[in-house]
Amino acid sequence: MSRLGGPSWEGLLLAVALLAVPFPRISALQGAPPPLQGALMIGVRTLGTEVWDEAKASGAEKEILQMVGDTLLRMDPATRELRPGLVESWQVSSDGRTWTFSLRADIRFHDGWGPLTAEDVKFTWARVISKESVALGAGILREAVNGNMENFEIVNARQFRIRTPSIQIDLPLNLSNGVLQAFTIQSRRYFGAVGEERAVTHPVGTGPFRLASHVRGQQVTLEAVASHWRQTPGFKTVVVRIIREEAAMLAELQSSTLDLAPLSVSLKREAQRAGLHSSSVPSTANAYVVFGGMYPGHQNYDRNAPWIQAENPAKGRLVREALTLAIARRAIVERILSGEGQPAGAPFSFIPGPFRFNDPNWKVPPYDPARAKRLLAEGGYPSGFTMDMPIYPLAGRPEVEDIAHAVADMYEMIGIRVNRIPMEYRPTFRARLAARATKGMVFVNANTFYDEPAAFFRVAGAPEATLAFIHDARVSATVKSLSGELDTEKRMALARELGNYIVRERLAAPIASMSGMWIMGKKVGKVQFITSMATLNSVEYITPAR
Amino acid sequence: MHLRPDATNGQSTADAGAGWRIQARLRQFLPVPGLPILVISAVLLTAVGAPLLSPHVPTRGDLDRSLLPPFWASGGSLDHPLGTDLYGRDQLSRIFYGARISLWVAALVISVSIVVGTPVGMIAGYVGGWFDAILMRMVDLVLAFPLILLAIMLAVVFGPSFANVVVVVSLLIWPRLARLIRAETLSLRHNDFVVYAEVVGIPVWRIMIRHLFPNVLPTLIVMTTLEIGHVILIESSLSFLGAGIPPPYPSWGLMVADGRGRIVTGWWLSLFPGLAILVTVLAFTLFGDWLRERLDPRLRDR
Repeated sequence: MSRLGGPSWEGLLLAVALLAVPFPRISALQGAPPPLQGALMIGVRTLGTEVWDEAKASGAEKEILQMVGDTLLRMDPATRELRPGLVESWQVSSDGRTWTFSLRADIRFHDGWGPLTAEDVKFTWARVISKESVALGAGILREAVNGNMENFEIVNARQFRIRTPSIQIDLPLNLSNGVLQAFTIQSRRYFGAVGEERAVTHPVGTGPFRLASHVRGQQVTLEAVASHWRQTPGFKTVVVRIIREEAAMLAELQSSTLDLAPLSVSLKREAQRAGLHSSSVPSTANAYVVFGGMYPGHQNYDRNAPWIQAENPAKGRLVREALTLAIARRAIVERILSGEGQPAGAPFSFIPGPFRFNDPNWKVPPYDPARAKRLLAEGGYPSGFTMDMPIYPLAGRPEVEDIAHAVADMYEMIGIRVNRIPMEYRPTFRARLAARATKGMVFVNANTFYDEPAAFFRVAGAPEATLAFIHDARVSATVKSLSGELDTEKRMALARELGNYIVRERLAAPIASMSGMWIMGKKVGKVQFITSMATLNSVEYITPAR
Repeated sequence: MHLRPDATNGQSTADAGAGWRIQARLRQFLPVPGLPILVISAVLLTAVGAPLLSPHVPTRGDLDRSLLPPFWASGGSLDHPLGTDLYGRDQLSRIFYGARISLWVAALVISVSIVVGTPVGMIAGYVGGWFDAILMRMVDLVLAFPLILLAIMLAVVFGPSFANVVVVVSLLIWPRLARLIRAETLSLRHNDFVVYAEVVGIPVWRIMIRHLFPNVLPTLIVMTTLEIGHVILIESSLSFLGAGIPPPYPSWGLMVADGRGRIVTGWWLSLFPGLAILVTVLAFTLFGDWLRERLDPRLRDR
């Protein structure tokens, strides 16, 4: 405040401080290279640690790694069927525990670092599962070799064999570019020659791009590899820029300083009004309501929760049905998701879409608040009840928070008193899930796409999982059967059986599937993102507009 | 040069110059701050009468009425005069209730700051010496602390809440108040009436309450009026950052944040709460300036 009779020095200092705030940013921008003519400018919110090391890549770094390198297998962008990648063929033994992979013969690392061999695969695999590794897929790869690289056998320069301790039907899937946890193969010879520090800051791979330059915290520039064995990129130069604010990303798209960027679907109309085009990636996530405390046998089992009522489970089911009918799914899809999604008939990993684990009999529950109130009364709560609803943002899915608020409003309309508790997912809410400390809570969650439903329940629906939304003996038993079934048709039938049980018992309330949205500027012609993958992928298939 | 007596030691002081002449001219044209008083009254009435004035429940949404524009725009309706937000909540009702939240936060923060800052300032100013030094270093420590970071930390650990906002903003305001009261106390400390009171043996606490406090009261009143606007601005900023009042409660700052990604398709979301903040803060600031002119004897006689 101003002192009596004098100038406000505090105000002046504050004004100077506020003016000074943009200066570091401006000088940082001045240090950034100018936009390249003809380059494809892609905006992303983050590039993680910006260290291009498969043993340390736990998130957005993988987007760059999968441009510079290749994964062992690939996925058809439209159907998500597995296709050859660096591996041209693969077989599994009759007992499902020995996988043999054969590499392509003509793959060479960039810059003369020699041919790709099985030794490079073993080298990368060993780094990813090492004790120091924080890689996203470390657990899965460690499990595949039972934590011991003795189970990785090099048959010859182009062939290797993996002996798994149990049937792991989703192993090839986890080696494909259709899942973020897949890893690209790094050169053993290159690491040995230049040392790890240089190798992870100046990565060399077999992918369609080379890393040309990197300005930390700002951007990565990549140059196309001419005559790539798989696909020569449509753009000779790609610049991936970090822009943390969505509003800033939209502004840059409008001014054509960006050509391609992901935006949350709630900004779709804003982008359309600005004359920008969008490309949807369907089924990137499935949102649903979780009923807390459903852990029979665990110390945090909430046996008296209105939606459980262990002494009278039929009434608990009626309350769960009421909470399912109270949700206006179409309104959520139209208003919050801007039409980018579809109402769901099943929760968890049973994302709506033409997937074999889905059953067409899973109808989208109707929106019927009057019936919901009657069911609440029949369930023993004619005047409603009080629940806590943790509301947390999920990385890359800001719409989930909006959906949670909307669902809270809908529950209040049927007489439930909702205590909204804003919190962070990491570390706060995640810790609660790990401890199964969700008594009295009902919350909205969303998970990414899983080709194999069992994989979701192994990480989020089993007593032995780190996090779990439910414990259920029948779910666990079915998941165990699923995991041991080699035949795809039988496995999908078991998955549908699992889904039927979950839908019938309303173990969670489905809401809607969510699409990812990429906004494109005038320079971009066609894009070919992999269905259900929310992250940047398949950049080499992006073509310039004619 | 125009000379006038100084209240502290009877010595004459000189004019401050052109700045004072401009202010004196303004006072000629604006003897009473009619407009700020009108605005403040309107804000107070709105805050108190929000339940009666609001056409809708501010936290109740209806997705079928999501993002309706104000009534004069195509697609708008008088049922929601200033439009609705993403969840279909009425903007006008939320602005009314937002006034409640802003003024309630301001009232609590100012009360806490007065209760803590006034005695600290008066004791530091009266006792002086090492006691003053220790208290003022504590004040400096609190002022140097990055309170926005503290607010964000509290929000992450405990979740954003009304209590967090009051705690954090009070931590910012009480030291400022303490410093000013200390300065006033120092200027009054050696006045004859205080010296006489000491000589006749009146206890220190009684001197502070009966003799010093009534003299620092005008300054306190001016400062708190000026700080109301400041508090509203800080609370709005914290809510904008997600470290203040949590949704679904209608804080003006939170409402501005909700609309920042929809400048084109939802321009009313940020505009009206932003205007509410601007008008309210300006009104309190102008009124506080006027009060300062009126209550400071050094300025009043110009």
